[in-house]
Amino acid sequence: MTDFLKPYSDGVYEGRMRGKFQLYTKNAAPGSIVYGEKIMTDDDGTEYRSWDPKRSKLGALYQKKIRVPLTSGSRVLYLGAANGTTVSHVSDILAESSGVVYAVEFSERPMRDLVMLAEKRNNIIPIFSDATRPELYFPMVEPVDVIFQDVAQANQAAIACKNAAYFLKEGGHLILSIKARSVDVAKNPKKVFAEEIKTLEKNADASFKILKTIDLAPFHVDHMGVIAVKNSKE
Amino acid sequence: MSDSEKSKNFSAWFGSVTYGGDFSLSEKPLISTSSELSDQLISTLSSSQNIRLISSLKPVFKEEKPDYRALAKEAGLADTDAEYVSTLREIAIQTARKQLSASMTEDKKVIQAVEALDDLNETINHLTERLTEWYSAYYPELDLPGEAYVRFVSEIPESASQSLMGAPATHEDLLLLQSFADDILSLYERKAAVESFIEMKMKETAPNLSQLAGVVLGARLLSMAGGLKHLAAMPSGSIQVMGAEKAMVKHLRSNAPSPKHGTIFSHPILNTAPFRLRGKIARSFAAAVSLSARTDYYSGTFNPKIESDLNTKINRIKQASSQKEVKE
Repeated sequence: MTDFLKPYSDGVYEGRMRGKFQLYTKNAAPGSIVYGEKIMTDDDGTEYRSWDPKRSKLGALYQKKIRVPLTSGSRVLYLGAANGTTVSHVSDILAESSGVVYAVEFSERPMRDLVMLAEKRNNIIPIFSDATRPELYFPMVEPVDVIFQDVAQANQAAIACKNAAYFLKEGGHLILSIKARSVDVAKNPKKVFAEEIKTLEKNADASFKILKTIDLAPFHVDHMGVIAVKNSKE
Repeated sequence: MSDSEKSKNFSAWFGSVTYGGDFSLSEKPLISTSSELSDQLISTLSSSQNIRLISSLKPVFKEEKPDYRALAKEAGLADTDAEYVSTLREIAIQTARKQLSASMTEDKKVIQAVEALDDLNETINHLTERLTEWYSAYYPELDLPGEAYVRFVSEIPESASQSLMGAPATHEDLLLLQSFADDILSLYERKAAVESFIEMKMKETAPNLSQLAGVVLGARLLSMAGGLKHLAAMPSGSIQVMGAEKAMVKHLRSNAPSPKHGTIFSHPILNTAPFRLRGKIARSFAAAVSLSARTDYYSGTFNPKIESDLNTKINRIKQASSQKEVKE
């Protein structure tokens, strides 16, 4: 450990940058950066990458001091991986133990970046598929402890429930970022959030107990972070 | 166990799995290199039968989940958990690479070309404007439209000496202007090449859409929708207002009027139509565009009836409106 960083959460460290609170993860691919983040190196040469909450919903959740149910040993299904900005930090966290992240992305351009990221990191399984149809990638994904979802789709809660039915273990956690503008551009975000929460609590595929909801402003506008735990069988 | 719950098989990356109360390995792969396994995985992932089987097992998966690591170990593909991850990762990377390289379909090529065309147009206009501004200091009387102006400067820049108003031009000045014009001319040539590429590809991959909307508008619609598949899946109402998203959102949020047309307005059938009929015609035209895209995607054969039906419909709209005016 260093004198400028201290543990914040499993696999996440806190320090300061230009006098301000800043989160870091230990670089699992030393010598390379992913999206222009700053690197700090301690005395024995270990690299720590700064985590920008404005570029990452998960980063914003950590920054807001939410207890995020992600541990270094987790098996994670990551829906909406994009070009791997957040996935790289998840990979850093998981690399401290033996966790693995299944990263699903549907769009070609970001997928190319994601594959290149997976080549540098040994705990990312890249999957080029449609997160709304878990049956398509079921042959590749084992049961997981955590589903993280950040997709710009209309029925975000329903997609999470469907994936949970196939992959999420009993008592597993869901970390969800809901983008109100993707559900309905015209509706009041508050209404949208309430409806999506209702879907999570009561759905034929899977039901959740909501542990925490939080507005991701000022890092992300009209986004809500949700942390939930899958209800066990009745 | 009832008949409907009798054992079922599905394929995963490490082999076939049977469910009959619990999950067991029913078939090991006969191959072992990651390249072979990824080829097999690609066919497994695209097998509609396998997808159906998995969907039908959803009620089972909700209750209990297969232990892939144990099954893969049994299949001989991994001895340890770490090996499970490293083997699967290697296969997944190869699978994604192959899928990505196969994803550059003909319609995606058209999209790249039409976006390049937009960039070329923008650059050409910009540079032509600059050249006109610059050369006019020496030859203000010269009045030619865009490309002809550039060609003139490229071919006979010394004509500037005829000017009564212009500044005297040295040989050096003209030499620089001439090479600048040469560069712009080569962009005009590149633009023509890109256009003919788009035309060729569009007629090949989207004959109906090209015929109805024209090659460039058709290509632009493909680009906005993200491909022929997406355009075919789009409701015609969305096609109608595609490119007018800002007005559409404003309409949905407040009581602003809905946009009648987006990008499709650049088609002469719309921009020459009487103002009051444009909404109706836009609706019919968008419906025909949607039908063309679907015909192109699903059958690929040319159907002249789409265009003739549209013309009949538009004539009816125009007739109905003129009768109404007579009555009034």
